[in-house]
Amino acid sequence: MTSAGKRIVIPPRVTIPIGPQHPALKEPGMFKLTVEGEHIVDAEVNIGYNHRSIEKISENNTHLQNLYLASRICGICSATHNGNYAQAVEFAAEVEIPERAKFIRTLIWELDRIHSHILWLGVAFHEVGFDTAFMLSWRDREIVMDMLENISGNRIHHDMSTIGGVRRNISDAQKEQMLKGFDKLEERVVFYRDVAIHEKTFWNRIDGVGMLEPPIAKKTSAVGPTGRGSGLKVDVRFNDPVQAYIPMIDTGDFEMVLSDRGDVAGRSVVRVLEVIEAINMCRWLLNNMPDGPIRARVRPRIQPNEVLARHEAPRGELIHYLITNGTNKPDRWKVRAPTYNNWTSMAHCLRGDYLADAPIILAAIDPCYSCTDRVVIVDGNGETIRLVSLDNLRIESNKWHKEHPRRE
Amino acid sequence: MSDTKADKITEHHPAPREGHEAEYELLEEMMGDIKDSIIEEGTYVHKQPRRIFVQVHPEKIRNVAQHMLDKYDMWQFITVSGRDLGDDLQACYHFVINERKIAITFRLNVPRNKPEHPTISDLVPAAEFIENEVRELFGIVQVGHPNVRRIELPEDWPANEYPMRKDWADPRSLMKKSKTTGPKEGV
Repeated sequence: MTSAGKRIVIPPRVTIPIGPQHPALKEPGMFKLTVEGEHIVDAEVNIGYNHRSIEKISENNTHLQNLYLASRICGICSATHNGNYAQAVEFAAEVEIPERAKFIRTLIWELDRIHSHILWLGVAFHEVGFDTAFMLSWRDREIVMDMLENISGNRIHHDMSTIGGVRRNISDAQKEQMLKGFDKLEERVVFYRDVAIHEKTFWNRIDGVGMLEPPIAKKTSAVGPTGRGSGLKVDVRFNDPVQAYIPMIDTGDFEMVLSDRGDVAGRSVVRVLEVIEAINMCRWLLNNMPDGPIRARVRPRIQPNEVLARHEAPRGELIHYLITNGTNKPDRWKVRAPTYNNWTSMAHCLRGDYLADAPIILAAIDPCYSCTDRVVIVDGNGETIRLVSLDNLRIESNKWHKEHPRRE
Repeated sequence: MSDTKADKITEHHPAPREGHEAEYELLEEMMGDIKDSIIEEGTYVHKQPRRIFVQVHPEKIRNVAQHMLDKYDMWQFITVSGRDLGDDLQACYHFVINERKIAITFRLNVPRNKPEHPTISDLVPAAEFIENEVRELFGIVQVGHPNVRRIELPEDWPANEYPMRKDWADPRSLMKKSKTTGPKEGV
């Protein structure tokens, strides 16, 4: 068909750096997207803008200090890091904690999951431009935030777990309040589930977008809702239960939420259904909570041991590999946050999709950066990218502000 | 646990057979199949349920990974933890076998003066990021890594400094600076 006179125009390949300010979430991460017209043909993920050397700092801290350091790794899922470090130390010391403490710890984990998933749902609504649902869902997230504040004293950084148990007890009055709150929350979450599935403005933006086929998901070791949205049975709560998950899973009332869709829609459905499942789990935990002490005494010096503590955080499997050496400080503590594993699959998800869909695809793994201090400066005219350390950036910015005093 | 006793206890806590049959079964199958790749010292089933630690010869890590992928479909890769043991550096490859619900750790020791071992990133693409990270933080070189680049540290970080090693002396007092809260001195 092509006649010699006709010119075939190939859209030029352009590389667009997106970030380090994340287009979806307010955290640093850089994505170099190569586009042909509107299509993304290649993607490269750069992380490490937020490395705080927590593992190095931890080697000079006692286990109790590390507990609070661990919860500062992430603001949204602080309970998971805090609780997982506590259980790693308990495994290393071979201490069995009281049953009630296990139940309260698990309850905090599940409440954390509920608020994290609703937060994500709001971000997803916002990314596709559906801001009404974003604001409504965040309003209803306050129900679970209030619950957390009620029982732990803090909205975030609950620090409920300590080595040997938990720090605060739950009274009967608080239990009644929470059960009432769950009724309201469930009603709202069911509504958002229906909005997410039946509302065309949302569904059409996520249906078939960001495909992650099960074989690729397997190859890149996707975890959490990203993996479960591609039909992989990866849920530590069911595969490697700890704490109060053991009796809870044994009842058989709870099931792993899976979707075989593999696109952003699959991941969204998994998360929304997981919230409903988590609410039921919380109810079960509150209704079956045994009486008794909430804390066992653990000596500060922990015997030499190596422990791989696994826990299902809201974003996927969280690993703390702890090596103790007989003192009250760890010899080595390795943290693998779930997002780290999902980066590898990210590049694949982006390829072949439209540039306009990039924010929702990036948001769909629910990224959480716990990773250096350096900044990329992109010079628009010269088209150069320069990496600057934090100190130099500070010097430069101080100089700039000196030369450009604020206009009164 | 007293101090004098603590010196004698190793960090390896092998489990009794009762209650850990599935783990022992897997370990024995592995010992039958890939015995020449495994060092017996340091290979054991941990007391914590569903955990196996396996010490492997560093040059055989690819054989081990390939065998485990083929036979057990060990697709779920967790992470690589580096460790400084003094004369040796250690890399621990953590995997999960989802069908048997067992987490398995392959540890390999490489000498400090020549910390090299073959990469597994081409077999397990998920390991690409973390192998790079272990190389820059511990200086363990994965020979044949398909995409060598910086992950965590700044681009202007000196080439022969590995901050997670125990003997890293912090020449620019970065750790000290990170603890100050006010404006930094000398800037």
